Amino acid sequence: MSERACCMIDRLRLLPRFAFVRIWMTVLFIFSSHLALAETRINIWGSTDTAAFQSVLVAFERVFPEIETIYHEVSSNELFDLVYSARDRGDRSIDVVISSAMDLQVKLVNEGLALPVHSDAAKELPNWARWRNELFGFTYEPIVLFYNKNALSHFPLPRTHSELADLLIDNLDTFEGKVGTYNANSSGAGYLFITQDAIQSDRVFRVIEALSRAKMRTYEFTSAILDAVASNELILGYNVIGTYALQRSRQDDNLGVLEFSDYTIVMSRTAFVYKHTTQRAASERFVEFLLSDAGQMAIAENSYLIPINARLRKEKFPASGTNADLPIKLDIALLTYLDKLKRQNFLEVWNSIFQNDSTLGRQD
Amino acid sequence: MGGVFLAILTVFSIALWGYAQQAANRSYDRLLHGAGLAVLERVNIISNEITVDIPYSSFEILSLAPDDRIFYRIFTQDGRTITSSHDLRSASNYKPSERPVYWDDAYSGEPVRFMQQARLLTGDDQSLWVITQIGQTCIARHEMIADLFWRGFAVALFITILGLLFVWIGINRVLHPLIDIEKNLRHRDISDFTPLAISPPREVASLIRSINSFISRLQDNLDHSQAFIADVTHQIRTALSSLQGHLELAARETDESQFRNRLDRAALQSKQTIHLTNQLLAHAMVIHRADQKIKDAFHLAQVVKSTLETILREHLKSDIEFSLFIDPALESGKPDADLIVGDSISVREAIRNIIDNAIKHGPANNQIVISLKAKGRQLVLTVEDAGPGIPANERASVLERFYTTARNGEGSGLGLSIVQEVAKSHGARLRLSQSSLGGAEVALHFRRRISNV
Repeated sequence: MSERACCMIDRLRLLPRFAFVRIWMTVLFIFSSHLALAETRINIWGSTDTAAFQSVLVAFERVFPEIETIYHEVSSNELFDLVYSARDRGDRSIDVVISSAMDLQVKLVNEGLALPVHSDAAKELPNWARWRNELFGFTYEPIVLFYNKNALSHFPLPRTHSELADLLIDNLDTFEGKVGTYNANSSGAGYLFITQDAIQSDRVFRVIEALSRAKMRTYEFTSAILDAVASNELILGYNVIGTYALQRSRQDDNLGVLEFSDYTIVMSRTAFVYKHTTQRAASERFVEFLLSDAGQMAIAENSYLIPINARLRKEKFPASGTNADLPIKLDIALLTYLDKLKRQNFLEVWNSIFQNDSTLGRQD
Repeated sequence: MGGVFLAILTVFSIALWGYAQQAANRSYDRLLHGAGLAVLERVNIISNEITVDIPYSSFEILSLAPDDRIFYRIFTQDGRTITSSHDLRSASNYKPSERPVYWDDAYSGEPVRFMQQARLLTGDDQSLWVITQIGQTCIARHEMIADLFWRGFAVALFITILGLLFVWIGINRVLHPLIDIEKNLRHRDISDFTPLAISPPREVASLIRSINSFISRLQDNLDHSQAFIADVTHQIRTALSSLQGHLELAARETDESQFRNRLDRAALQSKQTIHLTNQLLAHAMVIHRADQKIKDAFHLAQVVKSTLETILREHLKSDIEFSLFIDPALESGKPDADLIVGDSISVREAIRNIIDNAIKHGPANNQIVISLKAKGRQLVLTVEDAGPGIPANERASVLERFYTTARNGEGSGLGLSIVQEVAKSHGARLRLSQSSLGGAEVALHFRRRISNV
C-alpha cells in the first residue's frame, strides 16, 4: 500500500521532465524529417523564361526546404504536345505544368489531365483566372505595343488600335518591314493573342490589313522581338507580353511600352497539377504557393513577372487596371480557336498575309 | 406514425429527385442544343469540300456551365469526321434529324451528357446530312439537381413542421373542452342531471350533445324506475292491507258461517298477493336478464312444448281444451330449423304468461290453441283462446304495467307487460288481435337464426 503510493508520487514528480524530453524529441524529429524529405523532387514544366522564374522557385524552396524543384523550359506548343502525349509515352517526369498559352492549358485540363487543388488562396482569385479548381492564373500581364522611342519620335504615339492602323498606313515607307509580332504558326501565346484580338474587336481587321501592308515580320520568341526593336531592326513590336517588355524598357531608356486605351488584352500565366504526378502533395503545395501571399510577394519582388494579386500588381505596374483591360477568361470558349479545322483555316489566312520571312527570329 | 411519416418523406424525396433531375437536364440540354445550332449554322460547302467554322459563341454558351468539360465531333452521315476534339462514338441507331437527341454515357472518367443533331446540307449535286455531336460533363447539372432537391426538401420540411405545429395547437384547442367535461363529470353530484354547460368547438359538439342526451335519458330511466318502485310499493301495500282487513274482520266475527266466508276471502286475497309477488319477481327477472343480453341459440319448439307440459300438469283436472300445432317443417325438417337466439328462460316465462292469461281470463271450458309456424325468416308463436278477448281500444294499455282488463281483481296487470319486455329484448314483434275462436290472439314473431329456409 505505502509502496504503491510512493511510486505514484515518484511518477508525478517525473512527469514534467518526460514532457520536456518529448518536446525535444519532436523538434529533432521535425528537423530530421525535413532533411530526409528534401529528397522530394517535383518537375515543373513551363514556357516562362527560366531567368524570370528562378527567383520564384528559390522563394518556394526557402518556405518548403523539404521539396526540391526542377524547372524545364520549353515553348508553349512543345509543352502542350509533351503533356498531351506524356501518358502514352510513359513519361513520369511531369508534376506541374505552367504556361502562358491559356487556351492550350484549358485544352489540357479539358482532356482531364489535371488534378483539383483546394486552396483558400484560389478562392481569392478573380473568376476569369481559374477553372474547375484545377487551372489557376497567378500573373497579370497586359499585352502591349513595344516601341523604339528614337525611331518613333517623329510620330504621335497611337493610343488605340485604329490610331495604330492609321499610323502604319499613312507612313508605310517608314514602317514597311519595321513591325514585328509572334509567328502564330509556332508560338502558342502569339496565336492566342491574335485570336483574342479577333474576338475582342472588329477593328482588328483594319489593324491586320495595316500590318499586312507594312509587311509585318514574325518571330517565335518574345526575346527575339524585343532584341529586334532594341537594335532598331524593328520600330514596333505588336502584341508583346508586357512583363518582358517592361523589364527591357527599364534597362534601356530608348525603349517604350504602350497599352492601348480602347482595349488591352490581359494574359495570365496558369498552372495545374498534372493528373499522373507521382508527387501530388508537393505539387499541390507548389501551386498553392504561387497563389499564396508569400508566393505573390515573391513574384512581385524577385521576378519581373506581375502578380495577379490586385494590390501587389498595382504597386508594380501602376498603368494597369484601367477600364480598357480585357483579361482572357479561362473557360472552354478558349477551345474554339484550337479546333483543328478552325486553326487550319485561320493559319491559312495568316500565312497568306504574312508569309514573308515567317522563319525570322529562330535565334531564340 | 413515425414510420408512415418516413415512408411519405421517402416517396416525396424520390419524386422530388426525379423532378430536379428532369429540370436540370431540360435546362442544360438547351445549352447543348443552342451550341449545336450555332455550330451547324457555320457548316458550309466550299469548293466541294465540307467545312465548319466553329463560332466562339457556341462554346461560350456551353461555358454557362462554368466547370464542365466538353467534347465534340462534327461528321457527315456516312461517318466521315469533318472536325473533332475527340473520336466520339455516335448515338446508336441514329437517324439524322434536326431534332436533337440526348443520352448519358461515361467518357474520359466522368459522366457525360451527349447531344447530337443534324442539318441537311444542300449542295449542287446532292444533299447530305451533317451531324454535330457535343458532350458535356455533368457538374453543373448535378449542382442544380442538388440545389433544387435541397431547396424543395427544406420547403417541404418547413411546411411539415408548420403543419405539425398547427395540428398540435388544434388538438389542444379541441381537447380543452374534453378536459372541462372530465372535470364536470368527476365533480358532479349523483343526483345532478343538468346538461353540460360547455360551448364546444365544432369538432366535439356532437360528443357534448350525446353526453347531454345520455344524461337526460338516464334521468328518464331513473324516473321510470322510481315510478315502478312506487307502483310496486302501492300494489303490495294495498294487497297486504286488504288481506289484513279480511283477517281482522274474520277475527271479530262470531257467526260460524260468516267467519268461514271471511276466511275464504282472506285465503283468496293471500293467493292473489302471492301471485302478484311472483309476477313482480318474474318481471324483475326478465328485465334483469334482458340487461345481461344473453345470446344463446335454442330450439323454440322444445321450449314451447316443455312450457305447455308444465302448464298441463298444473291444470290436469280442468275442462280447458289445449291443442298444440307445430309446423311439420319445423318438426321433421332440419334439426336447427326452429333455432332462435336469446334467453330461453325469459322466453319460457313469456309463453307461460300468455297461456296463463288465456286461462285466467277465459271460461272454465276454454279452448286454447297454441301454434308455432315458420314464416320466411320468422318463427310465429300464436296463442288463441275462446275467452272474452281484449277490446281493440285496450290493446295498447294492457301492455302497461299494472293494467288489467279483469274486473274481479284476479289479474296482477303484469302478465303482458312481461311478454312485452321479453319481445323487446329479443327483437321480436308482439301482436294482439281477435281470434277466430272468439277470444284474444297473442302472436310473437321471432327472428330465426338461420335464413336459408
